[in-house]
This record gives sequence, structure tokens and C-alpha cells, in this order.
Amino acid sequence: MTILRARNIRKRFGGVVALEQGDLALGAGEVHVLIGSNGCGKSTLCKIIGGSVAPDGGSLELSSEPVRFRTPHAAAAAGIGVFYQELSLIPQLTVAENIFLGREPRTAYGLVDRKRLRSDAETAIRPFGAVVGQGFGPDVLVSDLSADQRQIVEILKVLSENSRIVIFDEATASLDSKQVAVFFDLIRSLKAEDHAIIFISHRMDEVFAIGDRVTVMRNGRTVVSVAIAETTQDEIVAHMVGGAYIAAADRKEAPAPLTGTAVLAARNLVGRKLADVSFSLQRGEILGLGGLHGQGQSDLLRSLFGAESLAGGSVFLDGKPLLLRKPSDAIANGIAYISGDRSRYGVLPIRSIFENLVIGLVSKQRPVGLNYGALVKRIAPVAERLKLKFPSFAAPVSDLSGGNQQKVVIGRWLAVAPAVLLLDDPTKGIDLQTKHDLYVILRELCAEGVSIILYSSEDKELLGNADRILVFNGGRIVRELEGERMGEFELYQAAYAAS
Amino acid sequence: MLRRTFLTLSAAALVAATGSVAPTAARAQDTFTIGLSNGWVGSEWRTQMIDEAVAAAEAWADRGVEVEVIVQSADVDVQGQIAHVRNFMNQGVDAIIINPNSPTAFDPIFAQAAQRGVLVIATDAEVSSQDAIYVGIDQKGWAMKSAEWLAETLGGKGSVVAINGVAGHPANQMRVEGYREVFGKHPDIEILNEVNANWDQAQGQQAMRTLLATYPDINGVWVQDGMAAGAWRAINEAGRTDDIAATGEIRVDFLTQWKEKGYNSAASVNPPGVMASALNVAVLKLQGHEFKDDVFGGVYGNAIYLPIPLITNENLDEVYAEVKDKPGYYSVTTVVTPDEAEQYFD
Amino acid sequence: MTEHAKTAPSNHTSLTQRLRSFDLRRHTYLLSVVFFLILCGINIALQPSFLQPGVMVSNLSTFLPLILVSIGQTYVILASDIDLSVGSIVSLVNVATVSIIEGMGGTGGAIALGLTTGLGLGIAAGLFNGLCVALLRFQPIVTTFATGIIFAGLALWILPQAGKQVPATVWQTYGGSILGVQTVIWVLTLAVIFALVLARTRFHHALLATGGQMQSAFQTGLHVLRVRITAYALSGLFSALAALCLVGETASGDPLLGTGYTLSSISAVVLGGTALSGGIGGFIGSVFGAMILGLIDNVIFFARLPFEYQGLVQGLIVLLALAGGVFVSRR
Repeated sequence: MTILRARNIRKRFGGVVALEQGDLALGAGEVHVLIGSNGCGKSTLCKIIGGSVAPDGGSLELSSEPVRFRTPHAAAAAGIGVFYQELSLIPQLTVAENIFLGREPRTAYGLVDRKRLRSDAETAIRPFGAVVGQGFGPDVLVSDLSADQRQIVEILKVLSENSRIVIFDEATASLDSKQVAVFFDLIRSLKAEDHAIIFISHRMDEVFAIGDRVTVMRNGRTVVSVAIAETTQDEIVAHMVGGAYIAAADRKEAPAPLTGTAVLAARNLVGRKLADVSFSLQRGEILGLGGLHGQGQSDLLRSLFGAESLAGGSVFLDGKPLLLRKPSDAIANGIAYISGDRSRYGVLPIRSIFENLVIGLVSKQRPVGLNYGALVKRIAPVAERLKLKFPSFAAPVSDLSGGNQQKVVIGRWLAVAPAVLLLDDPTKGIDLQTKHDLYVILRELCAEGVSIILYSSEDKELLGNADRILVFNGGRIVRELEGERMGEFELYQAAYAAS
Repeated sequence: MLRRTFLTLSAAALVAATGSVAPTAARAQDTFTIGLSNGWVGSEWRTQMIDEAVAAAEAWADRGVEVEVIVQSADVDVQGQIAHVRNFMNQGVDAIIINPNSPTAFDPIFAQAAQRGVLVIATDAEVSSQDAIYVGIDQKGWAMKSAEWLAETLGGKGSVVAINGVAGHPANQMRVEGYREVFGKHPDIEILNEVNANWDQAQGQQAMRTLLATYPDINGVWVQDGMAAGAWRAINEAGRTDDIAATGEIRVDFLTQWKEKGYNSAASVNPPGVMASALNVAVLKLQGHEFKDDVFGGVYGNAIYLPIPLITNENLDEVYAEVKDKPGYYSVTTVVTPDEAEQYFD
Repeated sequence: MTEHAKTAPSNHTSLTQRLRSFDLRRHTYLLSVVFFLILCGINIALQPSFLQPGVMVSNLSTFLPLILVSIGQTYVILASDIDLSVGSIVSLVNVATVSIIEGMGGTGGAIALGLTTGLGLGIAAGLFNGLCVALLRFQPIVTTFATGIIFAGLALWILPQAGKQVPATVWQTYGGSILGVQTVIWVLTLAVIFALVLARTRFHHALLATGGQMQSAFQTGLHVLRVRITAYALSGLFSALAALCLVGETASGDPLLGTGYTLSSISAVVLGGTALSGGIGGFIGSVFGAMILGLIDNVIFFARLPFEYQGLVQGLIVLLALAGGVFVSRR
């Protein structure tokens, strides 16, 4: 039974067509996967269904009744709940307050019942209890949570609305596999209660694990809609890229790393989440950091960038000890850091693409006498190399899709030609094509002598691109995988071994 | 010496009576605490007012009376000045002397002070409260005095302009009433225009320039306070010092110019010593003296008006000799001495 | 076994976590309470009569108008907006109330009408601000600066110069007691109860959310517009209440009466630990912030500082109090 039907939905933002022809038929008790590369219009379609964006045209039917939502409130009232990719949490409020925001339980006098608010939140959290990690609870401020914990709060918030239709826009982007498993259990119980679910994800394995039906979008149009059971991964990918899909950068074809010279070496690093970490990074190498999410990988990268302080140990660059007190120390020594959490550590959203690209250059120079022309000359090749699609350098970076924003962040550092590149889950929430582009660029950089440390929450990405993998658990390196021993099985084994 | 310059006559008349009043009727107490509140800072006149009051308090020591003063002087709104009064009351002062920021807003707090037996005296600006008294000059009389000089100087006929302070300000209002009343008595004096220059010297100069350009046949100018220096500068620029009579002001800077250039001028004195005078009245009251029945007058029937000296070309040299060593911003002043103040008491 | 080993320490950390989060981010007012107590101590040392009921009530009368304006300002700042027109609203309500009471002959009915009109006028002024800022999306600083000029202009139009008087019953009641309790204590208590109840409503959660992350609050389905407008209306209401207290305090109208309250109220709110960026803080801190500002004046007075230094010292103490907050929250 079709509960929601979207027909020919259109939306423009300024001169950019975000959605040209959005079609969707959602059945009750169905997990409907919406897939497509970034900028294909699936997030816009979800926002229109969720009432936070008004469509330019097309029709929306809920239980065969035409509807038009002017605000998220109206959509929520009609029984539509949305998990937003960029999250809709209030950092200054607690977990409990966020989950029930606007729907707080009330006493007989109409006031917020804080006891029940807390106990309801505890009940809601319970399924995630074992996998949510430390420092999580109803009274914790959301600003103190890690990215995965925030995502869990957003999931709980949407679930607590108990909506007939629930939209999850990249709800698993920061979650580790155990957390995803709990989340999928919750989705299955929703499904069992005849709720309809729209599920957006870039992780193909998840699509097949949870989906009943898949709708593929490309360039603002709905391309095809089929039952999951009747399709294959390759077929879906073919629809997404429209036949132009190139297989992920093949490691075997890549030139061998220029081994022998250690560019960066760390000895016995101790930090907030790091315990006795030692390794060395070779010139032209991609060193992968693996393991479950949140085992100290990001902390190591941020420490090497001087953004998090170390309690002990030493770092050597080209054999010389290096003192890292603040990011500018790292930048001055040719160390760059790129995070997949773009809004927190990456782009300056309201500034122009130009400003975002040159900020790395400018921070290395004196700011007096900036020469616009000279700067454009230096960043234009970078933009070209990244295959960056943009209207003009002067447009605000927030106009770009997530994948292109991430390219801008990377381009910023390419412009200054770093010696060491620290990548902290850089492809989080980026479509396959952009991912592929990025990894090709990384390989080229290595050939030019740049050394890279890569952390990725997607194991396949690590296995496909790293030369070596250090597996983390509880802030320690528990295994080093290399050559023959570097496979999916070994990686999982090492990651789950101690837990 | 200086303080007595203009009051020699009235004082002399009273000195004879002094001996009999003496501390016989006084309370046993000979130590008093008096709070001084000033709600607007930003003119030397106010600073001099406080300095003179403090000096007057110290002078009481010569008479065996210890007067301690507590000063609160800051730019405050009415509520802030009410807080001044509250602090004084909580401190347990015997009397409060206030240069008030509002004529009416202190009614409730003065009532409370009176209930606690605190003597409240306003100075420089009158207050409506019947729980307080006013000791200071009559602003209307102040304006009338210089306006009368101007009318006489012009021989009762001619064209005059007036440059006033801030529209709506109570003191300004009373002054305007004052000169209008005087000029009204002279049918041949025509007021060509009245402008406001907000008690600002530069604005006064600008206003005068405009007036001179608009009305070439001006004979007389009635102008208040520091704006007079500005107006005279404009008259000087226009080369009209010989054929225009205008009121002046009382700061040493202006007196110097006046003397050097030989202006045809006169100035009513609004002496910064009013607060010191009020303090002397306060101490006598605290000592247990009772006011004479007919001593109060004014708008609210609670005012003791102090004499207003007038500086003219006749006594200019004498006045100037007294103050010529003072800084340029110093205002000519008078203080009602304790002896003189006894005239207000039984 | 493994389950136990895992849950036990995590319970422990959640307790320490709770203790840790019980610092200044959820209870931002604590620092202002500490500073308030220090100032009280200094004040008692300088002025032993400080604790006498009469003196405390008299201090409260002095602080009350700023306390009220600051409570109102808190709601606007929590929504990440700002209200620069509160001072003018105080003036406007003051002159309007006094003019109505005097104009209608100072009868009981005139007084009742004057007071209710004053409150209504304050709410209306706040709603006007809210509509301009939230609905028309004007920039809050500029808008309320401009509306402040309008309200001040209206006040001058109603009463061009300070004056007019209300019947003695008005200020005698305000300065006296009702049912054996000082009127100012009644006013403060009722205002605090009102604010406490408000802090337990869904509206207050929505207010914090709106100030914390407006886009998220909107996407969550909260009525962001309504929340911001209500915050401004509350600011207007509390400003009006302060103006009525000033009528009781001064018994007369003054079109320039409220000028100082705008910046003082913002200082009080910030001293009380509410973030100017919105979403963090609450009215309790503002109450203490306002009392801190008042106590500073007291301390300076009773320290018998020469008046030439009073402004300087006052500024330094305010700076110290703010610096203390910044220091602790950066810790």
C-alpha cells in the first residue's frame, strides 16, 4: 500500500537546479533506500517531504490526499519525521532535552515534567546502551558528545516522534558497525509496526542489509526504482553513475611507495585517548589507521596537527624533534589536517570559495598586500585538478554540495603543497564518484612525495587505498597490517579481537 | 575675604545680632554628618560647588563644630540619585544636601528621609517635596536681574535677542519667564528671536553669528551662562562690541576678556557657593535653631532664596582683582557664612 | 563478566560526568552568586547595618527596577537576540502611566487604569520589536536601537519635561507594605515565581533551542518566530513592570528616566552567566547580576572613596566580575 507519493517535484536554489524531477512511491512497512551521488537531489527531496524546504513544483500525496507542508511543524503534524544529515541538535541542551524538544512530557499543571523527561530519555537510550561509548547519558550536553553519539541522539529524537513515515538522511555516516547493528534492529521493529522508512546511505553493504526497495537518483532526477531482491550492487552503481563509473583506484596499479625515509616518526605518544602510540611514516606512503570508530584514530591525527595536546611522547619530523603546541606549529612545518566533519573543522560556510581556498596560503604569508590575481593563479590549477564544479570563486562555499565542499577543504591544503597530509575520515558522506576522484588525487600526491596518514570509518576504503594499516583499539595500536596480511578478515579480526 | 565680597552689607547688618543666637539653644551634639549628592558631573561649576561645600564644612571646626561630609558625585539618572539618598540614610547621616536631577521625583524618598528625621536641603534646583527645603538662588530672579540691567542700558527701547539653554529644563524655563517679564514691562523693547543653544559655548557662538546675520539692527542680547562667552566672541568677530549690549558670565576667562575689550556687559551671579551656603544653613538647623516663619517662598513654598550679586562695569575691576589669580574656569562665587545664615532663624 | 566490567566504570563516569556538567554551563549563574556573596561580605564589613531589615529593603528598592529589566532582557538574549530599547520602554511606560493617573484625577480607577495601560504598553512595545526582528527579519541590534529612539520620542511627546505627580497613596503603598510584607518584596517574589514557572515550560526549552541553534530548532518543528516574538514581549512586560516600580519610587514622570537601563541590563545578564550568543543561561543569574551592579555602587559609597575615583573603581570591579566568569568558563 503506497502511503506517500511524490511526483515530478522540482526545486531551484538561485540558478542551480537541485531537483529536476523527483519521483518517489513509499509503501507502508517498507524500508525504501534512496541512493545517488552527492548533489543528485535526494537530500532536497527529503527536505521537501519534511517541510523545511518549499518545492517549486510537483505534487506530494499522503495516503492519496494532496498535501503541501510549509514548515517542518506541519510535516511533523502529518506524521513525517526526519533525521537530518547535518543534524538538528541543540549543542547547549542535554541529550534528554534534545530527544524530546518541543514534545517534552508535561505534568498536570502543564509544566515540563523533568523526572519523566529524564526517565523517558533513559528508556529511549537503552537499546544503544552497550554500544554508545563513554560519557553518554540523558544529562550530558550534546556539545560534549562525539560525532557518533550525536548521530545516535538524532536517531533517538526522530524515533521518539513515532511518526508514520521516517526519513533517515545518512543516519549511519559516523556510526561504527555495532552501532549500525543496533540502529538496524530499531528500524526493523519500526517496519514491523508498519511504519514507512526512507533510508539514505552511501554504504552499499547497508543498503542491501536493510533495504526492501531502492530508488536511484542522478542529476536531480529519479532514474529507477526496483526491489532490492531483484538487483545487484553493480547494477545500482551503474544507474548512479549513468554508465560512466570507474572502479575505485586500483592499488595494484599504483606506484610503489618511496620507502626507506621516515618523514614523520612518533615515539610513545600519550594523550587523552592515546596510550603509548609509536609508528613511523615513510615518504610517499599512505598509512591507514583502522579499527572500530573512536578508538583514538582521530585523536592521534588531531594531536599530530597540534589541535589536541599530548601528555607525553615525542614527534620527529625528518629526524628532528617537533614541538606541536598549536595548529600553526604544524602548518609551519608542512603538516596539513583535513576532517570529514566539514562544518566543525573544515569550511568557513558563509565565506566564498575563493576565501576558503586561499586561507591556507594566506596563513603562511603575511597578510599585507594580498594580490588577488596572483592568488587566483595559484588556486586555479588546484580547482581544476580537483574537478571542482562551482559557479564562481566568489560564490559562498555553502552553495556547493557536500562532496564539493570537501574538495574545497582539500584544495586549500593542496595549494600550500604540504609534506604530510593528515586525513580524518575525509570522505564521510561523500558520493562514490567524488570519493574515487579524491583517492586518485591522493595517489598522485604520494607519487610527488607527499606522505599521508588516512583514517577512514569505511574499512573497504582503507583496504583499497592504504599501503599499511595500523589497527587501533582503546587508544593503542594493536596490530600492523601490511602486504599479504592486509585483508578484510585480518582487519576485522584485529579490530574486534580485544573488545 | 572673597566670599564676603558681595554680601558685606547684608552681613554687616546681621553681625550685631549674632552674639545672642549662639549655641545656647543648640543640641548637646556638636558633631554632624552631612551627605552631599550631585547627580551631574561635567562642568567645573559643579566641581567648584562641591569643593566649596567641603571647605565650608571644614571651616566649622573653627567654631568647635565637627562637620563630616560624605560626597556622592556621579552622572546618574534619577533612580541613581535616589540610591545616593538611600545610601546616606542607611549610613545614618544627619542631613542631606542635594543638587537634584528632577524637581518632582524625590518626593517619596524625601518623605522617607523626613520620617527618619534626616534634614534634606536641595540647592541649585528647586524641588516640589514639602519634606525638603530649598536653599539657593531664584532662577527667575537671576534672569530678571540681568534683564533689568539690559533694559536700563538700552534706555528702555531697542531690539533684543535671547539665547537660552535646554528647552524644557526647569531652570531654563524659570529664566525665560524672568526676562520675558522684565522686557514685557518695557513696551519699546522688542524681542526679535529666542533660540536654544543648550548651554554650550560653541553653539552659543554659532547662534549669535546667525542672529547677527539675520537681524543687523540688534541692540541687546540676553544670553545665559557659558554661552555668553561664545556670543561675545561672535559679536567681537562682527566688530559690533561698541554698539551691542549683552549679558555676560562669571568665569575668570570671560571677566579677563570683558575687562580687556571693554564690553558693555553685566552678569548675574549664580554662585557655585550655593551648596556651601546650604550646608551652613543645615548645620544651624541641626544645632537646633528654628526657621523664621516668613523665610520660605518660591514656587513650592519651601525655598530660601539667596541674594544674587550682579557684576557690572562699575564693580568689574573690584571683582576681577579678587579672582584674577584663579584658573580660567573658576566662577565668581559667594557663600552665605554661618553668621549671615542666622538671619533665616529665630 | 565482560558486560559487568564494562557497565560498572561507565556508571561511574556518568556520575563524574554529571558532576562535571554541574559546573557553569548548566548552572551559569553560580559564579554570579559567589561574586554576589563576596560583595555582600565586603559590604557588611564596610557597613555593619547592611543586614538590618530596613537597610536590606531599601537596597532592594534601589536594585529592583534593574533586576526586573534584566530578567526581561535575559529572555531576548537567550534567543540570541538583543533588546536595546528596554530603557526607552521604561521611560515611555513611566510617563504614560503618570500622565494617565494625573490626567484622570488620581482616583483609584485612574491608578488602576494607569498601571494596566502601562503594562499593556510595555507588552505592545515588545511585540513591535519582536515583529520587526523575527517576522520582518530586521537585524536585532539596529532594529531595537531604532525602536528605542521611537519609544523615547513618544515618551518626550507625552511628557516633554520631567514632572507631574501621582497621588501619595501610590508611593506610600509602594514604599510601605501589603499584608505585612514590604511591597518591593512582593514584587520581587512574584517576578521570580513567574520566571521560575516560565523556566519549567515547553516555551523555555524552545527558547534555549532557538537561541542555541536556530536552524535546528526550526527543523525540529519549533515555532521559532513565535518564540522570538514572545521573548521580546516578555522583555517589554518586565521593562514596564520596572517602570511602574519607578513610578512608585519617584511618584512622577520623567521622559529620560530609563536611559541607563539598556546597557546596565545587558551587563547584568552577562554578569549572570548568560551567553550573548544565546542558548545558555537563565534569569537567576541576571537577578544576581543586577544586584552585583547595585552592590558595587554601595561598596564604593561605604568604602568612602573620593568621588573622583568612584567611576574608575566601579568600572574595574565590573571588569573583574566579567573576567572571573571568562576565566572559570575557559578553565
